[in-house]
Amino acid sequence: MNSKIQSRSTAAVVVLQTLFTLSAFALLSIRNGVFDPWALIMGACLSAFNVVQYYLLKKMFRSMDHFVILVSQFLWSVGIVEIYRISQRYAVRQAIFLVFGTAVMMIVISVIKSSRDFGKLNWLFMGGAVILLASTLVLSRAIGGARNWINIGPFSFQPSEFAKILFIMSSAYFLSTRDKPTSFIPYIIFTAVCVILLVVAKELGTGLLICATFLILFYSATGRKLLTILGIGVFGAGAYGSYKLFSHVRTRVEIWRDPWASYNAEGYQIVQGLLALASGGLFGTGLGKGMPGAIPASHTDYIFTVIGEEFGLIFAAILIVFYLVFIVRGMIIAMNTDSIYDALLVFGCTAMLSVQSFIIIGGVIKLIPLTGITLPFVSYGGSSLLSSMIQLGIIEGISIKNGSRDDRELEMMGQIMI
Amino acid sequence: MLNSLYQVLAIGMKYWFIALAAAMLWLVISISGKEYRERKTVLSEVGNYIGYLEIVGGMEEEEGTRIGLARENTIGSGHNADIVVRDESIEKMHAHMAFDGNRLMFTPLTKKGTRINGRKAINSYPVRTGDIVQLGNVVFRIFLRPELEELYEQ
Repeated sequence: MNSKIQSRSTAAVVVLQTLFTLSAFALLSIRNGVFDPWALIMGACLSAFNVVQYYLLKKMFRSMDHFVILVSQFLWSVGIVEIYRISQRYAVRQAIFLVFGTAVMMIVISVIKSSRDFGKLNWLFMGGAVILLASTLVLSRAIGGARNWINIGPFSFQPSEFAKILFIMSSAYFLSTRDKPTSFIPYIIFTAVCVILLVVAKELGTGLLICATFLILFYSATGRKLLTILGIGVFGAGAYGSYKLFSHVRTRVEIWRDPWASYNAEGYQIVQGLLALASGGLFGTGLGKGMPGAIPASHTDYIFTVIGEEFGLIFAAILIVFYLVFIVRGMIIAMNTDSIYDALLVFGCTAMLSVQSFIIIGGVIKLIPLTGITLPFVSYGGSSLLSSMIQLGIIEGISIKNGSRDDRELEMMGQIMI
Repeated sequence: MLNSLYQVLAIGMKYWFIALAAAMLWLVISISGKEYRERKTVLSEVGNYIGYLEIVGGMEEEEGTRIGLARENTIGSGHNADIVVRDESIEKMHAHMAFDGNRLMFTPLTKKGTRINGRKAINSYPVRTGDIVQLGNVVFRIFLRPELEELYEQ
């Protein structure tokens, strides 16, 4: 056996993905009884974009992790198909964000693959995260009950999406460079400030996300069981306190326990989501034959129910397994790193994406109280897609770093017989 | 007309989409599993080696072949040797190479047919990167990892 690592062909996956996108858009093009050429054009553009993006990244960055990017491509393709079915205008915007996001992702990959832990810059990241979160309270307008959007000219963006990434980066730095419990104090205060700002801005989903990511990262970095349990206790107390203190938290819990009681008011969205999932059944109603119009926010937070309705529960379950594949690949990359910082950075991004998908999927199927948050890669939303793609870029960047280290090792030994 | 076509297709294609997604999932999982195992085997094997022997003369078709060196190896033409070199001029158990913590020691196990850098070798002798070892007619060049090579300087 020779010691050369051959990367296996993933062309079959690319072909299947292209088939999926093209056939879905072909079906959408005759949906209303009239032929809509734009659907076909959109489908062709999206498939071509995915293929070009995949092979371009593969050419630019050796030892990139193929599977993470292929899974993400499938997720956003499903997302754009479903968004196009709901609103063509949104789908075009999402596609534009996808192109923009790819450029940003490439920059992130190049920065991450040749960087260390950013040292003192992390204090700046912390400050930046707090300023981003605080700015929403001052400058925001409310979308869907949460004050989390800022308008700049024609664009509106969600600062918390980017604060999330700054949070992961500073977490990785503090948890990898400190070891005395007291030296974590500034970092813990920072986390608490972030969460409080999010709860006050009524962005409960992101608050929950930051809490969960913090606990996961803290435990995996330090291995301190007692402090982690204490953290879970503080988190529980905080959750209970905000339940008592804020009416919007109370409402969320009430509509989770019995959405039918307030079917005409707050519980409407949950009930409609459940009805959609139920009417879809195992195999779905067929693409384009569901009723996403009946669900508020069907193209963003509630896209999972639309997918569940039109593609069926089996397809939705497969989608969840795709997220699992993403998580497992992320963990493999994290375990393969040299430095604790890199490992925590990748693991932080992976944990955050997985917790985020759990929070929103769990929310729409009424497993946990619903908190408005996007489904990574799938939901419509420029900030959300961009932030997911930056996290993808971080994961890929570290993967490339690992790969070039392994390559150096193999190159030194040459083609050796084993 | 187009509408009824759509109605039929939409029902039929839901199974197609599920099949596609399932096939893709299976492919991704199986390919990534295979690649992961292969990569791990190769890297852990290569990581265990402290260096390699490269055949530089005496066996024409094998020239350039690199053989990984573990911390301790026996070299010979017999089945029991760790590194088997099939050549008539080499004894069944010809030599022993072991890393003693600081240096890689080369010990001939036979009285004749062993040379280190052109000189006849009978006793144990430390070898390092670039040294040429000859067993019978076969000539090897030694490569040691640079980080182990540094131990020689101390």
